[in-house]
Amino acid sequence: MSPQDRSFPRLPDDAEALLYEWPAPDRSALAWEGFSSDTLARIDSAPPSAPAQTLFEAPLPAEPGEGSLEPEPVEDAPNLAEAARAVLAASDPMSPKELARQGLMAAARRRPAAEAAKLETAAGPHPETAVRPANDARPVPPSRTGAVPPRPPSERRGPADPAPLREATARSEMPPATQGPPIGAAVLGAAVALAASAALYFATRHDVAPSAVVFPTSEPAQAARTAQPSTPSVVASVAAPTPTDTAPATPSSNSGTAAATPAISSGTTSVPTPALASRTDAPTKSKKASPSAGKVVLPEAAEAPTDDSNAATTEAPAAKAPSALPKAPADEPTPNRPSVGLVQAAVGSVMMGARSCLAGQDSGSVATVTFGSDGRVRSVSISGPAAATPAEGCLKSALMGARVPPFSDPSYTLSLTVRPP
Amino acid sequence: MVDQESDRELIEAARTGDGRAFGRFVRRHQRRVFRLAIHLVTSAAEAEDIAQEAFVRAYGALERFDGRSEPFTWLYRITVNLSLNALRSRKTARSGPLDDPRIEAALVERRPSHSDPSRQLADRELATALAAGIDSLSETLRTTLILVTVDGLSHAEAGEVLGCPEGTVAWRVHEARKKLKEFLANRGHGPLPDKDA
Repeated sequence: MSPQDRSFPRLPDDAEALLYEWPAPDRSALAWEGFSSDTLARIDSAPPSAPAQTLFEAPLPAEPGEGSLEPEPVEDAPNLAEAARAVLAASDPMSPKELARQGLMAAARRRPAAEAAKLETAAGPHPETAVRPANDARPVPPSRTGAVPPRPPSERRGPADPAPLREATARSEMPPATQGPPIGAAVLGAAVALAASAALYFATRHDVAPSAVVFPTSEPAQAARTAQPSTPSVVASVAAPTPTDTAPATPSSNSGTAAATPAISSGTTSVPTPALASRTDAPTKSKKASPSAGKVVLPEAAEAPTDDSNAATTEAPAAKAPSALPKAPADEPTPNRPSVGLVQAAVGSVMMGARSCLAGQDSGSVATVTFGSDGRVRSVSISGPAAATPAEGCLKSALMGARVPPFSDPSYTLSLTVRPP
Repeated sequence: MVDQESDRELIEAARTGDGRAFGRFVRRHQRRVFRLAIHLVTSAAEAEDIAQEAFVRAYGALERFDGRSEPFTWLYRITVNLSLNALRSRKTARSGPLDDPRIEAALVERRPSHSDPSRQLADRELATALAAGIDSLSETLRTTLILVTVDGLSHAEAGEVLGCPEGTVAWRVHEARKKLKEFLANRGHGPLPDKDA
């Protein structure tokens, strides 16, 4: 099931696999050459009259009772959680800009306008003014230069004014050449958005089995749960760092949650690197700048995702969201093999890169991907037109980045067709 | 040799009379168009004819291509319309799964080296049931499902082909999956859906 269809009714695994890999009868290259020759011959011999207009019109009638589903409905929290998980599962390091863009988009979808205005206020000042390069000729908003003191959100715009949303979104979608420095603000936005969405989701969906939404968790997460009994356990597991994805958590005597967030107390201000572990750096900076620096306030974040700007911007759960990946609750048995949904999410996260390897090719190639029980890709073999071409290495490299949660079987193999973009 | 021109460049060149550019466009897309047609009309011979006809019609209407959509979605729309015309003009229904090229392709192309007879039988039953389930859907749901799942178009691309918003495509895929799931469950593939849900 492709990422865009993941929230839809699922068929049995075999049927899903067939549906997405259903080939047509293949033909030899010679047969296809003959086919194209015949086609061009038909074109040459066709009368010059233009085809009927009906051939170019929308082909199908509406279905009775036809409705519309938004691509990412606001109410559909699992979509957001899965999207975050898929993003984080990607082994290819995500740029802070991309992380921020997705976070801000999620924030824009989830938050009322006034909340976004608060987010903007809280996220705005520091990076735009502090990290701005000398050759950046873009005008600096007066509120960011200090010429005009920033007004409280309530004075800046009415609560129903969507302008903050537009601005936040537009900033996040600026092309790289013009986006430049505000990476810190953007990463902060992403962190806030992920925290708010996860908190809202878990706070409202207690009926969902943890295995459906959260990967296996680590021991520090258990410690966090123990230390913070009022914290929704699922949030704690979201915040848990994983040994494979982030730097090992150093248990602290202060609190369980602090133990789970080493980067917060480190005060690192290094420029974020693409490594997943470094994604916690930017929120670290925000921690330092915030009045509640050093405090990790998981419960509030879980209970009030639309709370005031402090809760939205300074709390670290979003910063720790990247470490939510592949871990499952300790009491959750390791599955024999990864579910099709998780496999598809993992493959989907690298598919764009894989498809780009086939740019310019006529047809797709079949990749056989074998995951080891640790969830990493053990081997990839390519058959089809890309085999024994430079595209093969490119495909292998792209697909090796897929990750699934650990499972108990020795391996899990699937075949997938990679089509040209 | 891998040609690097974009579809738009090829179409633009073809519009200016470069027949070889359209030839490259044909070679680039003929397999996908054929594959789409075969899933829509479930006949290899008809699909071949439709695929060729789609290119002929597209070439005859190059001047109408206004560039608002991608050339391949434009070509897909022509293919879908031709396929639906073929289906509607059929006098009789197809005879059954024995001559369904989709099922043979599913068995031969996906697991060519499978030697376990019981597994082969299970695969055939599943492919037959899935094909029958897809065919039981309405024309609208079936076409949308094929474009999105079997052919791998995004909702946005499918919306361009079908002339409807992304949200409508999503709704149709959702409905199609729901019905398909129920159909398969009634055939013993997967649990029966909860009526209360």
